Amino acid sequence: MFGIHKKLRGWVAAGLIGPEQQAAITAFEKSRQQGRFGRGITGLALFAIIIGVLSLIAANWVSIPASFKIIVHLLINIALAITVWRAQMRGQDNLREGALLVLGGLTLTFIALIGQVFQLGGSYAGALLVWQMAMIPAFLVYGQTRLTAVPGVLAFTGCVPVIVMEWTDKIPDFWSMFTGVAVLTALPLLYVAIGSMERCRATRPVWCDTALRIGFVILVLSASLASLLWYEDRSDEFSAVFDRAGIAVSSGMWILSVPTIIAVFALFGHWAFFRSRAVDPQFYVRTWGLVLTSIVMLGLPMLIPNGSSDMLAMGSFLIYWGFLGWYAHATGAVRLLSLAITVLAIRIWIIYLEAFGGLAMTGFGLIFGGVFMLAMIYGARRLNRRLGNSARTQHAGKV
Amino acid sequence: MRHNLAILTLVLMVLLPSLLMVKALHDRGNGLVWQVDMTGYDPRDLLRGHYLNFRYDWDIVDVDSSEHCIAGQACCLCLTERAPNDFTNPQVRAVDCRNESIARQCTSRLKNMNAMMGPQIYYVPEDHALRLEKMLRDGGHDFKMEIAVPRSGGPAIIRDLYVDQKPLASFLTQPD
Repeated sequence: MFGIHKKLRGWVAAGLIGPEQQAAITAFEKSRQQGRFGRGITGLALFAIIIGVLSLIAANWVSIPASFKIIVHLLINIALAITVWRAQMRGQDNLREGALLVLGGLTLTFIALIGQVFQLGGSYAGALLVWQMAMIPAFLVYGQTRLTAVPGVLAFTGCVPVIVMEWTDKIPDFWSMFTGVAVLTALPLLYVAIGSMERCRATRPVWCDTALRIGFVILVLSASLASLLWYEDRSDEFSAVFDRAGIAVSSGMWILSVPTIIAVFALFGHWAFFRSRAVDPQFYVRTWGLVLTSIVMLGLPMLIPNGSSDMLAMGSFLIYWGFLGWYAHATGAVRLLSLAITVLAIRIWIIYLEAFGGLAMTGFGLIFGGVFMLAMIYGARRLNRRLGNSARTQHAGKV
Repeated sequence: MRHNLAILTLVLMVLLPSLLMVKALHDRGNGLVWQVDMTGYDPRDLLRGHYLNFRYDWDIVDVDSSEHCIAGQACCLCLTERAPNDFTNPQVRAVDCRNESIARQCTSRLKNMNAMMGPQIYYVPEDHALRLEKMLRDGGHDFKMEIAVPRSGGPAIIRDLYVDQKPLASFLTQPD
């Protein structure tokens, strides 16, 4: 309330609102805050009790008979499954989503408990695979809000590398590398493709939107991190991997490029079939360009292993994030625009620090860099404000 | 139809993990039971103190080159009794899984040879884990793992840990 009082006084002084409106807003906020302290303390007390009960169970875990632990856990899971069903029938959305989320977590702990009680020597990947097979169908059927969609997609995304890595441990390094490139290229594209499908957006809007967003996050993150590979000459490492697999370097490079080539072809195929059908063709073209650039950024350091260059590492990162900034500006994504400007500012500052060698020079560099950074943040904020306003105006114009 | 499918997804969520338990119970009850010596190994482990880290101390015997599996092939551990009806510390040979004539000579066969030769973990009460691990590494005590090997040759199911011929629970409750 302290903050709002100060703001209200400021708005009254600036003539934005009158004293009556100030009083009405104050009364509204006061009524909204009533009982907040009591609710907070009650929540804290319940939280303490739950943690206490869990600690007591944990402390006596060994003394609790294994069959009892399994039966109780199974009963809780069954009760939660029934709760999800009943809540769905009665239209209690919050209860359904909450119970489903807890059931998802408890399915994993149930698998872990069975592993512990029966001393199953299975792998983490095996346990996660069973978890995903059990969880995904129910989450897709019952999950309708971000409360289940975000953890569901994130859990799947987290399980994929663990399962794939367990499998690639058993195959030669070259094929392990190939699988890594293939999964890193295909997974985000699959998310973006599924998330963009009209039918998916009509039937499961929250899931599609979540998949789309996470797909873009993976694409941008992997493309950005891939630019760091230019710092090192990877040819010796690649040659050793190819040698161990008994594959010639030229053939190996061709095989490694297959996922990127397929992805690029798929993107051009998409362009050919869907560009004319897009609701907003300009938005489609820009987004398509972003995906293609990300795939190329991700694939190139793998395909040109001997191209080590600090300039390339710095330049490709800056150009990519510059492009992201332009994309955000052009599509009216104000938050992405702010992020792009901040990332660019930090990366330029890091480049500046990287350029200095000795201690004295580093000292001068840091002082100069600090001043430079302050100036840059000032400039970036001004630019951000200007571009943000322009993007908002454009967006408002479209609406 | 849609209702049935929706119910099925929830049933699957509870049933699928339960099937793991059913399979473990089945293998545990129906597999051939062996007792195998255990040995300790480098205990550097993130979960140290919650599990007993060990290896099976298999009594590997030389095999004829014709029946030996070649690296990269599907290798099985072929367990045979040391004496008739003695299911303690079997004699073990690494053999080609696909060779049925050799398979018939084995009392039990374990398909996942590499996993069975490598490090293992056994969940023990955390108050006792470090002491048991030290006892196992230092020697002077008889550690044996009782395993059930399913007739299909699937992964061995651990039944119980024996320390100085006593099941672990009895060993831990006996006065020092």
